[in-house]
Amino acid sequence: MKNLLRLMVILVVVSFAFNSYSVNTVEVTGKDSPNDKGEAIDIKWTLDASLKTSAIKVFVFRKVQGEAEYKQIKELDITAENFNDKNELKNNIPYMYYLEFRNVTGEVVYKTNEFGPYVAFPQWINTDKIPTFIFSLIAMIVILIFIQVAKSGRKLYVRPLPGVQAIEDAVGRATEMGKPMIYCPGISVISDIATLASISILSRVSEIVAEFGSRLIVPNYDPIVYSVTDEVVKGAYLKVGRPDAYKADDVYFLTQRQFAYASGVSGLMAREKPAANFFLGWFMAESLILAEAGSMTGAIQIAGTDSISQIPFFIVACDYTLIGEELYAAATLMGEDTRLLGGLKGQDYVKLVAMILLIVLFVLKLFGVPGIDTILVGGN
Amino acid sequence: MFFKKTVPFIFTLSVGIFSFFYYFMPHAFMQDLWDKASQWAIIIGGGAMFVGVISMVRAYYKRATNKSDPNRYFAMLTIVCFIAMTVIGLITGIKPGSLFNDIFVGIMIPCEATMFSLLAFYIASAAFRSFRLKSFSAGLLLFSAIILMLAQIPTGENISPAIPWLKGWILDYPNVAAQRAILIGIAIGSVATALKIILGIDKSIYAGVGGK
Repeated sequence: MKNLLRLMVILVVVSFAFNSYSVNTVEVTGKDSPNDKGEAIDIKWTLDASLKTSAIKVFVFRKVQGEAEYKQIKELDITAENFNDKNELKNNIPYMYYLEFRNVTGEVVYKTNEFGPYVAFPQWINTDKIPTFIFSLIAMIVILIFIQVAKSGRKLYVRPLPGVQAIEDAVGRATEMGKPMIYCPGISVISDIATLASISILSRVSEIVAEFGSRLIVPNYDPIVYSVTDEVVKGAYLKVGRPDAYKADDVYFLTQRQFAYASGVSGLMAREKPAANFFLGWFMAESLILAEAGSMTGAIQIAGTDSISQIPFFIVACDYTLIGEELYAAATLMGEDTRLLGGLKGQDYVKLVAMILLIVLFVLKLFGVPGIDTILVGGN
Repeated sequence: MFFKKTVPFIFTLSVGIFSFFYYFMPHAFMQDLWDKASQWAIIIGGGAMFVGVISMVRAYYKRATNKSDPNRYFAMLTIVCFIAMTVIGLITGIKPGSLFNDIFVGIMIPCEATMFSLLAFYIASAAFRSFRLKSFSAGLLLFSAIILMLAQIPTGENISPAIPWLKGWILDYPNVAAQRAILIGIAIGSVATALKIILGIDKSIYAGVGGK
């Protein structure tokens, strides 16, 4: 009887031991997070199915290699199978980790051995962005080649845009009617390409306005954009030899609140009854408010934006709309600078390259060639 | 011309080249430089706001004092509100519970919400104009709009289960295809425009050079 009891105890102990060490197993790996400035380590683990049911939380502990004490750095749900450690990590220092799995009462169900050391270090190149880098380089080279071709004197044809012709006509119309024009450079900041393109167009428009002796009102949303537009308009008057005709009060900062700006410009249009309104730049929800308010005054309206969601509003409410990249091309088409025209032509050829590339990738995808999605949508 | 053309060009070129490489280089050295440049931008923005406010006050003051302008009272109101808010903000602070914040939340935000709500009426009037059956394209627009509007309400599904499906198809295929085409054009156009500005080929944005 005594021997039987001993045997039963041994069997129970062995069965518990078997459950603890062969059923609850965790495989852990770690490495420096790729394509970052360092200060981050990726830890991954795979859980046994039984551990997923017995534990509810994972606790991550870390210490610098050689130090005595571990510190708890993260508490995760049991569903988590990886952790990106950015918790006050320093580069080039080896870190050790271990994981604890706890049940609903907080008891430790399983604890891994310590693992590591892992060292975080910065990368100079983001390898995920290499395809973008290559295509950017190709685009730049093609554009620069066409700029050189244009400089050499070769005639390049670029399809004229009705909206661009309409800008010049609108200035003439406003002059004949003796009414002012309103130019909105959008509600974005100076670093936005749409704002820069708009300022380029403003430069050409204000030259024509200065020549014709009509009036251009430029209410600005951003104070830095205001500083630039003010100087650009002043420069245009200076260039055509009429600095005295420049009115500093017609180019001004209005407000930096979106709907206050819409309200201010709508009020301006209602009071001044302009002959032409230009909405060129980056716009948001105020686009339709501006365009409809302008439409009610009977002014000819020319809009242009690269804000995709606002293009339909401008199309329905304005007489002419420059869609997306047409906004960037407008200033070039208004001027006679051959180098800029060359750049525009180069841009068209880059588009051709992009189209060919997309068609080739599409056909390869149809034939089931692997990896096409990765090329099309990025490195991940 | 040196300070109006050459200096801005040197700054644009160097910052442009740095920004290009920053996008592809995640190293801490580049990140720290970028963070510092961003701080400078905030400081410049603060200074520019001061310049902007001076411009706004100057423009509205001239309008307010122009006796021949029948709308001068609006300009006066703007200046009075500007001074009142500045003084109240300086005295009471701008934290929640202050008079400045109460005026802002109680007057400014409802006014902005009113402007935003005008969009509903403007959308209706713009839709009325654009949905007139004048051409084949306008017909396509009208047809798509009817399908989309019907699919948004339960009646659409009651008429035919094909209507919600057609709405999904229009939004997911022709709509996305057109948007992506525009986006690719914008992306390439951005590269070309940025390149022309960074290399000083397009100098029209430099202050005071008048496009040359």
